[in-house]
Amino acid sequence: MLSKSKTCCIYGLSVADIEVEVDITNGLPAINIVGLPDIALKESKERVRSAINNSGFEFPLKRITINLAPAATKKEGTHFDLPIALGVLEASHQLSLKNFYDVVILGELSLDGKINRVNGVLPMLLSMYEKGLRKVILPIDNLEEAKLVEGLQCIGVTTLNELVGFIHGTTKLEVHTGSIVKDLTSPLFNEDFKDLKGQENLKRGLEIVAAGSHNLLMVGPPGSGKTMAARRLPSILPSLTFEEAMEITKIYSISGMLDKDKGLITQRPFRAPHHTSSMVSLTGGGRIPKPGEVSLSHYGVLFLDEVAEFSKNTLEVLRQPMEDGVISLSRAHGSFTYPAKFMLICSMNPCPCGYYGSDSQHDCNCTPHEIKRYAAKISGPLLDRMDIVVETTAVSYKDLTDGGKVETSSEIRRRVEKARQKQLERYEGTSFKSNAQLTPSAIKKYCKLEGKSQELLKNAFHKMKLSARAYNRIIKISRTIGDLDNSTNIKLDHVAEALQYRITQGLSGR
Amino acid sequence: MVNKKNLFIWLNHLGGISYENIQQLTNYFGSLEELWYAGEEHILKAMGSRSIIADKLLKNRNEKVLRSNLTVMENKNFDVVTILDDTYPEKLKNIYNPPYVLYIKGSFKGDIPLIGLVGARKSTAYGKWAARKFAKELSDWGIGIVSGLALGVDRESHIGSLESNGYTIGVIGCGIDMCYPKSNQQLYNEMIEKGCIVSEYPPGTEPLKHHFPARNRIISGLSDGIVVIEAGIKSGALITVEHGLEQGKDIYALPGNINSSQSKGTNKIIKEGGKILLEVEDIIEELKCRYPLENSNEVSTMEEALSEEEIRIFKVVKEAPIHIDLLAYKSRISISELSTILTILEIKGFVSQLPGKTFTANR
Repeated sequence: MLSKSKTCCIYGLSVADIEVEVDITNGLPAINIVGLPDIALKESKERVRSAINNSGFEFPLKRITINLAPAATKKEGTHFDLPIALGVLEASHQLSLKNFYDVVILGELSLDGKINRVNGVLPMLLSMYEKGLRKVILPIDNLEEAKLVEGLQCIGVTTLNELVGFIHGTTKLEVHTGSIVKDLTSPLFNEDFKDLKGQENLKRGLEIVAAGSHNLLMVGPPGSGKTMAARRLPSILPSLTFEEAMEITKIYSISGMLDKDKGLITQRPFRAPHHTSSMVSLTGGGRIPKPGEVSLSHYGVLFLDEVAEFSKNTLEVLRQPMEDGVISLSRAHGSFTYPAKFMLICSMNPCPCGYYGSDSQHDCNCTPHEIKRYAAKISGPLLDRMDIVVETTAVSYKDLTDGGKVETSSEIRRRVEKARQKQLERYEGTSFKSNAQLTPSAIKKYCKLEGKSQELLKNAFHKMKLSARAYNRIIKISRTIGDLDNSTNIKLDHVAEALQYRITQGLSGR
Repeated sequence: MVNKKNLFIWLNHLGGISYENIQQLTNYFGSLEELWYAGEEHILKAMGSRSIIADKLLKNRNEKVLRSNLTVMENKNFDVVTILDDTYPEKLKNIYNPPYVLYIKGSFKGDIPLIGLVGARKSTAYGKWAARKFAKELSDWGIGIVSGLALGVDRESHIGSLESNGYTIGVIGCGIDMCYPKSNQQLYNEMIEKGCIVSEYPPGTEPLKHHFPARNRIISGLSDGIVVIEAGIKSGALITVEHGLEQGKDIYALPGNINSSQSKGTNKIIKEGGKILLEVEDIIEELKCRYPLENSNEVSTMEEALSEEEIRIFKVVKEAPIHIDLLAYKSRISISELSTILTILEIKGFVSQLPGKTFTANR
């Protein structure tokens, strides 16, 4: 007898619906999976056989052919186990799937019949919902994730036995209906800016980048709190909109990095890959590419600590995604595009020994040539994309013990949220979500400089020998500072402050 | 074709022939022309043990070499001055082993008061600040700045002078047609316009290691006094000081932090009797006896140019170079307001920024 059931397969972020056909005929006992399965999928037959036997059903000793239609595209993933198992059971007359032809079935089987969680559920279900399917049976561990699809009826199952009981109508399972999550509050953060004494300049810089989603480069001696500050950045980032959260959750779903108790990711990602990371780990890779760090930090922070220690090639791959907000990976199977709108936060020392330009307590013992070569590790084009440069200094003991008032993260965050709200209102109806994304033509349209500000900027160009490229960068930063100040126009003060975050001669003087 | 001037140029192109050697030759032959036509055995005899020089002379003693030496310099935008010319700086004639040929780009002024500012290539923020400050202040008094057009103190000294529209001379250790290090190209071009570049090496000469200590004697020779801004214990600047002492020049040293390796040399000079440089007047007093000096800089007063808050911040910066965080802490002002004020002060030219987000007063 022939059995058919529905499932789907994911390629990057795009989804194809797949029909699992199982046919049992007389002949020498054998199982063949056709339709270009990958290795994990080919091994599926072993799992299915054991799971069926161990769940108290009978695995037919006949010739079993499993076809994954359309047969011409390659399939990947372990979530085919469950539809295959059900197909085998139906084809051997142990159950009837008559009422389940329009149900998407996903799930990986354990040998004992338990149903394990699978990756990529959210993007798959979103797409299946668009294609008109309204019901899904999936592992209980993926239920939270599936419930994010508004209007979708989801049934979470734990074992094959339970599922068969449900199909027969002997077991009751709860049917959940997906809905939009309203509560997007981030969890509490363990790390707070109030622990960071002194470093006002750095804190202000981080506040500005958080508000406008800009990129930031920290340069300073060891022990000047660069890493400490960066780790506290998530605590002041504005909260996500639902659309943003969904996009992030989709990526994490594909990567299998979702928490099973929590469907939606409500906190902006903070990724800090080590400087030995390879190019592929940043961009994403594999036969069917999995998202890399640039995509995992989508709408969040990609923090490269000791950026000068990264290999040059690794850093250069960041340029295209930073420009386009997406990363396109081409493989033999085709081209895969993942979103990659991240804020890049980098830290580095000013020279190999770390003390160049710092106070007199430590002497820098590098030669001018060494200092230059070290600075040149960050290529010009990459440096050009750093909107804000902050040079830190080690805090003296006096400052650390000084009892002055220090702002907490939530105080800073309140200002950031307001500033981001202003941006969202201003760019309503456009594709921009923050000041950092503005294109040169959009800058002309949205960033009006007051007369005096214009004058100042002109003077600054002459006096500070700024490049033409720095112009847009400074206006964007001024715009964000203006937003933090709740000002409609860009005032003189805003431009003047923005100019303090320019790339200084020491760094660009190569 | 074969005249004294051209022979000097020819000898200069041969390389490795000092003025001392030339004197030895003229003592023997009476004049350089004699040398050109003299017999081989005479030259060997004249140079005695220095057979390498004799070899060089003999090998290259033909019209072809001389002509090619001269054509190298045709239609080029620099002047050639030999020790015989009237335009040759008087001050250099009196030093030991003077450069007998000078290649000069820009307009050379040897008769104005000149001060040599020297120091380490790898200078600290303090050194750079001081170099620029003193170069500016000296320029305001109409004093020219002589330095070596290298990085660090040299560079800042030239820039300081140019910023005050002063006159500055760069003595370089390679051919006049070359800029070393390359990163100084812009400065090099600006100096040709507003000051001059001097070299004793023929065009095309590479910047070899031993050229730099040698050119230091020209720096000190041209200068009426030498200021050492920063020097490590083995710095080339100390060679300039030695030359200067030999030539009887005043030596000034900028005192520094005793822990700073870049101030060990200058502090040692002070310890050994060099003049301590605390303010520009220390130099002016000395030079006033020899030159009529006048300060041309009409300082627009702080009160006129700045707002109250700006003056407050400027006064804190003036005490010592200071990092922006510390400045915020000291002046009890929010970092965003402070950034605004600092930008205005930078644009008005009252403060400038050093590596590491440290600010320093310009006046």
